[in-house]
Amino acid sequence: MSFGDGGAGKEAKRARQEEEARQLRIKEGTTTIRRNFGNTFNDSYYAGLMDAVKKAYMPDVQQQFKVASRNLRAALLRAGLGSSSTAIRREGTELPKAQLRAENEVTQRGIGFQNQRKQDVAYAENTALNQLNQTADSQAAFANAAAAIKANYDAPAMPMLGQVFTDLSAGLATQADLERYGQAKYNVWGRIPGWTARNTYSRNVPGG
Amino acid sequence: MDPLTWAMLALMVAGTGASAVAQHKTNKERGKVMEEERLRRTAQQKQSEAAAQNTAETYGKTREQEAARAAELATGGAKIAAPVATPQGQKFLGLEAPQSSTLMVEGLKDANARAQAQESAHHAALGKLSAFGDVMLGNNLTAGRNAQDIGQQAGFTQGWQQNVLPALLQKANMAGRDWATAGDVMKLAAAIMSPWALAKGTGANVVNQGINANVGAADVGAGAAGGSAFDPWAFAKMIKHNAKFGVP
Repeated sequence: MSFGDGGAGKEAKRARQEEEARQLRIKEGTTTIRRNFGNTFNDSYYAGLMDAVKKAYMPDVQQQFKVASRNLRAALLRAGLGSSSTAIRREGTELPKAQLRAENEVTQRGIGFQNQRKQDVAYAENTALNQLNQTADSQAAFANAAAAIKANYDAPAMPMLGQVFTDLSAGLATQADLERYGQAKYNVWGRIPGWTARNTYSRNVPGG
Repeated sequence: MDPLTWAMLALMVAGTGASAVAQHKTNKERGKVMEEERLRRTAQQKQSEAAAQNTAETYGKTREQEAARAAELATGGAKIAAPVATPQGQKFLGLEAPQSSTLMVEGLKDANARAQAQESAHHAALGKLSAFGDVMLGNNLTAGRNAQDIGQQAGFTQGWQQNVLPALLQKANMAGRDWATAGDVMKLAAAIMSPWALAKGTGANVVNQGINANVGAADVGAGAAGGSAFDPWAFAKMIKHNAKFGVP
């Protein structure tokens, strides 16, 4: 003979089933959302973002470099330093260094964009998963995740690069002119062992 | 002893036994529910601990990862293009006119090498600085994801405790209900039959008579009237009387 349990068993069974189903939806939804984000924002995506940054900035860098090197060459020639140690220093060291620095700066910007995008993506994924955890409504969370993926997919706005190369020919004409007028000369011979350097100056600039 | 008295005593014993069985079944079911809850909580706690451990290990590898990232950044620096030989001479980066003078060519080559070395060193130094940020960003993202897992586990535990555990305990409380009801019925039956059973039983009369004799007929009421039933008031008075006059 059974007096029954007043529906407690049935209610417990239903509560168990509902909670297990809720947790399963959240677990599966979490896996799906993370997979969707992971498949979209993978290594090749971030490599592509770096390429996009380089494509956006490199032509500008190269154009500015071309102008800067032409200006430098013109300044060297105007100063009569076309084939000189100054030309070697400016064109052989300072110009390439400026070029390398500009290219590395673009890469740094790319890394910055990548890191920012990684943070944005993590935030978006977190938001979608929080929604899923709170509501257990996987379809709504999937829709939210899809919208977040779409919103974060395109390359970010890239500000103008601005002037990359400072005036590499700065001071050339001034120094040359001063030397032509017998000013601002510096001791050359005194640096060679065995030579007397006292009050001995040399022209560094032809025609000075 | 009268059979009715025996029956009453049997019912009382059976009723008490049924109550004990009911309590035992309820306790057993509650124990099962609590054991399941404990196992579930332990499993979820282990997963959370694993996630926390992963976070700790990730941060623990920061130094190695930072070194690896710094090396990666250092090697990824820009390189000066090597001069290109043309019929007119060597063509260097940034110079439109090829250089034919040996002095200039050698000088520019040396200068390029110096520039590359200086800028590579500068880039490596910058890479070392930014490597920490890159690695920490990765660590923080991993930590965030692990924290989310821990939060989810806590949510599951909370959800179970709020939504399921009360219902399971309620069900467990009902586990001994059949036995408890049977015990209640038997005790009720025993209580109903007790006046007759005790009135007919010799032992009951003897007890009541003894009580009534001790306390006094005038005070005893029903017991004095015929001793047909056990009178708790009379029994209490007897205890009091005996205590007052030192009767054992």
